[in-house]
Amino acid sequence: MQMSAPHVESILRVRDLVKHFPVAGSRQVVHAVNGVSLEVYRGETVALVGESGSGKTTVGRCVAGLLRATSGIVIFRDVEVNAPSKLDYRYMRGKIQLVFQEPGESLDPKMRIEDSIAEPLRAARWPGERRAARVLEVTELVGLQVKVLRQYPWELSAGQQQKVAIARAIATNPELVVLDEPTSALDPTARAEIIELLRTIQEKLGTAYLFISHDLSTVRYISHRVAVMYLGMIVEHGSTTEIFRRPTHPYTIGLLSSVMLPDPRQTLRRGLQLKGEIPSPISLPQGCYLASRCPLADGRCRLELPPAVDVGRGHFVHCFKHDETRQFQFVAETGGALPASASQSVQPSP
Amino acid sequence: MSDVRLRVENLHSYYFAHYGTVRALRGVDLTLEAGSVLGVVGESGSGKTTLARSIMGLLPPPGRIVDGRILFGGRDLRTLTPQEWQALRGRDIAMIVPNPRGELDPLLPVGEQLVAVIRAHTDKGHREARDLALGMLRAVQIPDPERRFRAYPHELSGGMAQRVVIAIALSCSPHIVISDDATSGLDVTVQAQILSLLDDLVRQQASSMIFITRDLGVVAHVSDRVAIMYAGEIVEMAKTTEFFDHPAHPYSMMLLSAFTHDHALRARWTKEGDSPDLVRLPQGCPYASRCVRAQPRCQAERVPAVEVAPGHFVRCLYPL
Amino acid sequence: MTIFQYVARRLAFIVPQLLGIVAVSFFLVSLIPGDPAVLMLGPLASQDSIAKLHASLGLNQPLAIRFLHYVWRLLHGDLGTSWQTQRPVLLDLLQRAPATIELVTYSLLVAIAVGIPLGVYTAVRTQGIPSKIATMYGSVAGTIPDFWLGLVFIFIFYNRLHAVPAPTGRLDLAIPPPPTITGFYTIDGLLTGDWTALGSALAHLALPALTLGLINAGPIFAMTRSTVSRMLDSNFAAYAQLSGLPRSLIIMRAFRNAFPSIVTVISVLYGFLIGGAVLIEFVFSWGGAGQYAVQGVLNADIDPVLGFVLFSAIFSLVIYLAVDLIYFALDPRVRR
Ligand SMILES: Nc1ncnc2c1ncn2[C@@H]1O[C@H](COP(=O)(O)OP(=O)(O)OP(=O)(O)O)[C@@H](O)[C@H]1O
Ligand SMILES: Nc1ncnc2c1ncn2[C@@H]1O[C@H](COP(=O)(O)OP(=O)(O)OP(=O)(O)O)[C@@H](O)[C@H]1O
Ligand SMILES: [Mg+2]
Ligand SMILES: [Mg+2]
Repeated sequence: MQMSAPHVESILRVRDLVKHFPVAGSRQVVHAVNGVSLEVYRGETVALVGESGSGKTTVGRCVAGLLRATSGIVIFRDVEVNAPSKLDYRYMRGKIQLVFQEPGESLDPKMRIEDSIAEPLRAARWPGERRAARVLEVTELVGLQVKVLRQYPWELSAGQQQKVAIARAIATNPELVVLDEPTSALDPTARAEIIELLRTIQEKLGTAYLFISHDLSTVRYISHRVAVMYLGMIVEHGSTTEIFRRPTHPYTIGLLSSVMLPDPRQTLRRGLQLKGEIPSPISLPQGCYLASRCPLADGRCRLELPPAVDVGRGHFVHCFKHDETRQFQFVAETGGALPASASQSVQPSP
Repeated sequence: MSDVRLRVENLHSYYFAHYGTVRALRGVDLTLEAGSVLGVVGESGSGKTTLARSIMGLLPPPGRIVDGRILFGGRDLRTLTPQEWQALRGRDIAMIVPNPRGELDPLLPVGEQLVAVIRAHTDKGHREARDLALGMLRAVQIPDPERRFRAYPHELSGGMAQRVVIAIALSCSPHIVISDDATSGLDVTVQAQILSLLDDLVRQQASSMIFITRDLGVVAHVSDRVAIMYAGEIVEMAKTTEFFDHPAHPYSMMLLSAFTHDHALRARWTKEGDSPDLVRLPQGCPYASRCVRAQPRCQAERVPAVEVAPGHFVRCLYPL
Repeated sequence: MTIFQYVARRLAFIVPQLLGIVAVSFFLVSLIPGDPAVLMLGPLASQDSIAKLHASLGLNQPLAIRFLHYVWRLLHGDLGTSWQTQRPVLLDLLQRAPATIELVTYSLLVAIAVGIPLGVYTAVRTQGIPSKIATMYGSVAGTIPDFWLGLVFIFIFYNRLHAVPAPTGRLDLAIPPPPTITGFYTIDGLLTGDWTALGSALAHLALPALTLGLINAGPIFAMTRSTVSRMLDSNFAAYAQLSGLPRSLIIMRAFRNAFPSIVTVISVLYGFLIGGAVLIEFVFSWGGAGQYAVQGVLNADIDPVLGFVLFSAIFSLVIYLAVDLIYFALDPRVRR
């Protein structure tokens, strides 16, 4: 199930990314992202997971150049995304694309599907004939029928709309696609289809994904590496196998033990339970950001920000207590198969 | 265990919209035993909210119950007067709604809203009601309840507001709690906290619960029995373990397979097809057009519910 | 944010706002046709004397210079002089503004007393004959010319029924005004115990206030009905019903949530009526500020017009500030 990461060349490097948003009518700021560093290699999928408000979308938008970082650097190949020169800008155009959570939102309701898909091509200055051919090509690639090209977004189902959004994103042959919860607005069947599609595209084209999601089971299925975010920081990152086999940060453990599978015999772990909710990003707590919710926190956790600790196999954790959390570690279950009795023997035909 | 708190028989609820009659519930039968949790699962538009609102006697217009009975405490709720309804709601049957920040009065501190409900259903004075309200906020594990009592809805996080709504629902120790999609907007860690809290409180009060959700994963863990809805009908109902071990309806299989990343398995149970149009329903099984097991007979006749195992009902001519 | 910071912030904006209003109205008023010198000296005056008067009034200077002069005088509390009354505009306004404010305030009270209950009633009972009648009234109220309704009322209540005194000002001619404290006869009468003046003032107020009130109840009614019914359809009302709260409590909460919008309409009406009541002032010979300003416009008497604009601007700004304070008190989402 796990894909081996093709560690060829790094295409995206993010260093100490910080993003603040002003708070209307006050001098305070929202500390949306507080020093995120990450790297994406060609053809791999890096997942960003974490609680709502932890800054995943903001990181994605800074990477795609839609937001200007407060500080830190985002380097795509050799180009600084946050301050591209004119030449760099032309080079970069179309190389990074973004797919949003709400399929409907990214499509202009007044435009035919073909025009929506052609839009990034036009922006990247593709000549007219090649544009039309490319639109057809990607439409087939995402498995849509050609007739949808003449239709309008509202005539399509949510699943189809999301396929259009993906077709549009890959039209310019991007090297990196930021997928911001691309399946959370879809029902389970459509979701499964989209995930399959993303995998196929990656196999064929070698596109890298920054995959933002709440859905841990999908993350486990699709990504090579995982970064867990909490309150604007990456608290743990490593290969997917590592994170799901040996979750080490208390937040990751809490997150993984909250996953409920459609299996009544799954034992829900209550060993390390987080209390309460994510603190306000306006006034950041001192010390470890999780201290207020963490059952293991002690005085030091409340005073000092824990540095990254290498626990081996490229697995990094920001936690003073990473030794103690070992007793709570477990191999996370995130689905994958039906209860045996339900799935195997049964055949569809009556 | 087996004394029945609520029995719904042959319930039909339609929306008389300008574009036609939306037949949102078509002959729903269910029973809810004392102290048990019934999980109701179905895709968007299958009629879950309509079912909850019908039981609460508050179908928004143009919706109306057109047939059936809802038996509670020896009476058919459809015969209640508006006054009797008002007394019953919140006291005997309480509802937990999704997106609670939008459901609370934005201009009133949440504590006062809790007090208002308590006072509407008991003869407690303001002081007593306040004490009970604080107790409830504590019971739903809101930190610093005295301060939160005075907080306005917009000052609470989604999870906090959800706890307040649970406190309101449980404040009068209702016999039945109906939770409609109550945790869908929450983070998984918060969802896990709230579910275990809800579970504990409902069992403590010996209430019964109808737990409505789209998430089969949640249902597997909170409910004693599962009902699967499709196009306004309950297509399968069974004990939770029985359901997950031996799902009998092809639609249930499709739902379960969508949770897996087993491509072949999913393909085996999924077929492209139109989602049901509740205005122009086919004569036969509404799932037939998407069903991998469908036979000509399925299109032709209305499908009755059959008992494939003790207490396991399926509305399918060719159950698994 | 505390309420003091809030008010201080609002007050800081008032001065530039006022300056802007004065500038715009100064240039607009300068477009009024007619030459004050000609009007003052009469049709038989010689070119020579007109030119002299021009010079002494400063009218031959460029507009911008005249504006600066005007602002300079304003800063010293001098609003200029009306050539018609031959009195400082400030004194004229101090005498006449209370007349207008008093009239407008009572009218608004009538409008509120009619508009809000009707609005709530029709929002709660959308069906039924009373609700139909109220709706009809609501749609008609805004379209009737106020002076016409005033004349009809005078005809009925004065000419026919003799229920009210003659429409000739704020008091009977024979009754001296109460000692001036606020300039509002009803309040001064009350404060000084001058019951005859109070009675007469109220009797004179009755018809014009009723006229303006009934007509301006229209927008208050419409806003009350639409916001209250929107609130009754909103999620929180539905949830309150699900929790088994009594209907009366739900209506009260809906009203409370609708109240800020209603207050907004009332405040806009208040500001508008200061100038908008002028036809009624004429019909009832009220001697108010609006009447004064219109006389100014007709006779190219510029200072009273500008003075009036300034007065109504200040009045409106004060009202809006008051409304903001009400929001602040009512809605926790405004305070942060
Ligand atoms: N434009 C903005 N202005 C002000 N604050 C913002 C803005 N965008 C995001 N934020 C704040 O920054 C923080 C991080 O937001 P972000 O959307 O990146 O989180 P997220 O992890 O994507 O959450 P979710 O899972 O809910 O999408 C939040 O507290 C959010 O309220
Ligand atoms: N006010 C209404 N007027 C007309 N049709 C309605 C109305 N409310 C709901 N319906 C229709 O009734 C059907 C059942 O809706 P219901 O809200 O009960 O579904 P649900 O299972 O709760 O869906 P979800 O999971 O999205 O909440 C849907 O087809 C819906 O379009
Ligand atoms: Mg996001
Ligand atoms: Mg629903």
